[in-house]
Amino acid sequence: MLLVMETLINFILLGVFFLLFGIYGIYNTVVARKNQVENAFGAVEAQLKRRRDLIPNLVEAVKQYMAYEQDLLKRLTQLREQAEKAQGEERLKAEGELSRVLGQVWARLEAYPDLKASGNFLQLQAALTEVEDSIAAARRFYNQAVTDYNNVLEQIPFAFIARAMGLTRKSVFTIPEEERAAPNLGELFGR
Amino acid sequence: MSLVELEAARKRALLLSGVFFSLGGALILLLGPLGPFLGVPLVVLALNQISAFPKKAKQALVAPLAEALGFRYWADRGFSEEEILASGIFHSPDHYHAEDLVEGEVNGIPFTSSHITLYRKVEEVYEDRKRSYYQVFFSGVLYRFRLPFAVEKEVRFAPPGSGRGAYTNKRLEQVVLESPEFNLFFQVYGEDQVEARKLLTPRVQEALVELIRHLRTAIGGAVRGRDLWLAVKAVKGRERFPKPPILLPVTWTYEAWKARYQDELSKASRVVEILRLEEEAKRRGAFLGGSEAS
Repeated sequence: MLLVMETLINFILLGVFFLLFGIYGIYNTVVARKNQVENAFGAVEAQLKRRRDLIPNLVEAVKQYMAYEQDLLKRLTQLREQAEKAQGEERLKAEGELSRVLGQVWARLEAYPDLKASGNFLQLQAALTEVEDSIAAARRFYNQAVTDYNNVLEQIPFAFIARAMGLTRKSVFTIPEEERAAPNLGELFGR
Repeated sequence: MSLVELEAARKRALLLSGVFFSLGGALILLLGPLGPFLGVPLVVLALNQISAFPKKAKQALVAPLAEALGFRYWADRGFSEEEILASGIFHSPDHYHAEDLVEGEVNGIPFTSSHITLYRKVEEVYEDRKRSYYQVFFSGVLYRFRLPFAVEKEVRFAPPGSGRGAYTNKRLEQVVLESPEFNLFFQVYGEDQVEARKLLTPRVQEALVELIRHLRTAIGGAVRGRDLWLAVKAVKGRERFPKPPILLPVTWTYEAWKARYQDELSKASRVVEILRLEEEAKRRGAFLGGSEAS
């Protein structure tokens, strides 16, 4: 009888040990996923900052050539300052608008062959292209991190720990509605 | 060397090897204890004739085809051990062999390729006896493309299940990409998650899958600085540039194998084409008089 009791207690203790070990592993996984999302968002922010830092150089390089686009360049500068000062959702909105206006600037460049021949401008354009690639890559990283995080939130047994920690689903980066629509070429080329 | 000259060399080698074999064999049989001392060197000379001709013929047949494509070819040269290890794809071998070096440029992108065979020493104990032998752990073609743009952080990709493999760079972390099809063929490690994704865009992932389908074998690779390394595993039993056999006329083997030699020589061009390296370089502004924007 005593032996049976002792064996039972040992099994229970072993079970508790494995349960605690399991909870430890699950908790660490949830925390790792959450931190990866924050890490990925930081990567996106860093690339957006790099782009904002290049915009004054761009405006300076093109303003002498693009004499008829002063309004567009002014808007670019304003958006850059807005994005710099804003936080959270407002900043993302401003960055989205900045992407759209930058797209308009590139489209209007076709009318200024002198500018396109400038070595300085070409180097700047290459730098901005590289930054846009980095932004796209950082967004993909963020989306992957959010997908992994959301999966962990909804899968058993991670969901129990995640709910206990008060964690909620996050949204991935999506293309804004205006970018999903077909481009208005008339507006783009200023006609 | 023309085909006619090569055919004459083949006949000469065959004749000489026949004479040396016969002479050597006769001396061994007829001169008793002295026989081997005189006969064996002749047999060795005969074997030398037989083994030297195919290598010479391969150089003579493949080099002009390479030149026609604007490349250079050396049958008896290959990557050095330092170069092989510089790719970071392989563990340090206990023994290696490299041959069939091809150098050239495709659409402004210089490349070098070589067939390499890497061996590790295996020691085992069998019935209280220790024995050791060399086991092949990689045989295939290693390509190095010198990119006109630099990649800041190291990225490596290999067949799934390779794990970190020979990646001794401790800063490498696993990068999980979006394409399920790509993930079937490759496992990716990178120094930076963003830089790895910048290089391995959905288009490049698709291109690498297309490359595997085109080459029909496993591929591993690495990108670091300005070098793109691709290790293409050899299809079993298939040599990169098969050596013409000494017993068959050279003209016969040339006609039979010319297409295969040309196909093998064009693989570097196919890689540049499929991966659209030139387009990628232009997009990054890498052909702006040699300078890259920072």
